[in-house]
Amino acid sequence: MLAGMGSGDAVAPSDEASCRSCRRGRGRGGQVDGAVAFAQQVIDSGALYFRANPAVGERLKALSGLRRNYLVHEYFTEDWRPITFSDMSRVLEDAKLDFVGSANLLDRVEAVNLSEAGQKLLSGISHPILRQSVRDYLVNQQFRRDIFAKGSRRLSALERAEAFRQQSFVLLTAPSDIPMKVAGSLGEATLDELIYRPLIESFANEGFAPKTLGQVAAQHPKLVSAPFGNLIQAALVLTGAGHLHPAQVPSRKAQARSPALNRCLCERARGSDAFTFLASPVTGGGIPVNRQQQLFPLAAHNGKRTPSEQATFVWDTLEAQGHRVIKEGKVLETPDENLAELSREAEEFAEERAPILKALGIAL
Amino acid sequence: MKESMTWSAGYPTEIEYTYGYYRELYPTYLRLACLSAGIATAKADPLKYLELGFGQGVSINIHAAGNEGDFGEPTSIQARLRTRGSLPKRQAQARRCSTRRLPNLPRAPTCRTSTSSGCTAFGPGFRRRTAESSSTSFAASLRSAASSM
Repeated sequence: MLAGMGSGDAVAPSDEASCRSCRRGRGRGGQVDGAVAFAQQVIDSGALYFRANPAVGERLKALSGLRRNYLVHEYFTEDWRPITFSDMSRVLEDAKLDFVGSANLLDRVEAVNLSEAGQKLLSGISHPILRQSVRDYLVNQQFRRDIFAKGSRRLSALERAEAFRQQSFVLLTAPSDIPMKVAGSLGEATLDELIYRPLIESFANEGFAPKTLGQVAAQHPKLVSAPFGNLIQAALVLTGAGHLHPAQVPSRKAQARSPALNRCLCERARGSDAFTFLASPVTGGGIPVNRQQQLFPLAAHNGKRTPSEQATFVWDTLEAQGHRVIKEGKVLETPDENLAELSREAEEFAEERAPILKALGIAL
Repeated sequence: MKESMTWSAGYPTEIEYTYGYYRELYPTYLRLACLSAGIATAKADPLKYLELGFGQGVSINIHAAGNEGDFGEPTSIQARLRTRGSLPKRQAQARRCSTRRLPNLPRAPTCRTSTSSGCTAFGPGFRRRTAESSSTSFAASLRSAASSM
């Protein structure tokens, strides 16, 4: 069995042509800014290509606002070459790998991604590769996140449902911070509060301890009569939106190892906001955090017990480097303002975030 | 930045790679996505995990810390890193991300051209490395990065 991810860059023909010519023009020998500016010059000269394909110009504008170190490694490698999903599948087919599905779980929520006509069109296509290729056009897909597997065995509907009953999940977001909306390529959809609220509540119970979907379905009075298929769908949507993650029983070794890495990541946060994740042995994956959420635990690790002591620790760290807290897009200037905001954040962290990180097995 | 870009095996080397993390790559998530698609996943014991295009190594280190198994990067990259032993570690780390051409692997365009793709695999072709050593080496290179700034 082999499970793999490949990123096939699904690119509309016009997009591919323009990006490549932009690179060929000055990309390799020049600089990123120079290449982007040069492509813009071509557009501004009234080039008919860009008039016929206005979306390409818009895309360039969006790209030019992105970080240079992202752009250079995404688009300026020597072999940058967009590839269609069908070509990618053919390459992987040679290695006996079959397409499993998108790794983006929200891709499977059709209502937020496809119009009714689009859904109808796709449902009439039985060939999985052609289906995905057509879907790329329907949603104007730019990058794909796909899973291919070797020797995969299809589960019966019963086996799939039974496996979902055994599947553990853990909540990542405080229930009050989870919006009852989810976004896709086409727009937003409202989540059914009758299912999602009790589901979220169940996973928040008992100090956010991980639970299987079967446990949750059997225990919550509002969920016992819900069709299990709806609960599966809800768990996948919440996972796709980043609020819920699949969990595992952490091994002792992983529990011992993760703090070493997390201490290191939190130490690094003293001087930089580059690493915005911590390792959870409960999910086996990374959990998104901001710089403060790395510095408060570090303060606690250094013996600062109360939120107010932790806020002072963080402020001392930031002030020494001339850093300031940004609140609602505004830089806080005075030490008092900074300290007040950090104290508020430290209180909030202790109350809302720390219990979740604890359930995720994140310790220093 | 200099006038011309410096390349190593097809990748720009002057600008540091991003420190992204991609949750689609962690084993429990991959299994859930397969289950969601109705595909059975065998329990691999030990799990053998290979990540191509590992960037700054954020995800592979997080995954090696949080899971049991053998976590690896392509042998060719390991070899390149060893030959650069004389570089300060911070530079070595920066180059790590930039030398992801994989001459020892089949020339699958997917692996050569995409900078942010990851692969998990159960099979031969990469140097075994225990999760423990992976976590420590990351810690070491980060510390050195912090102290050299």
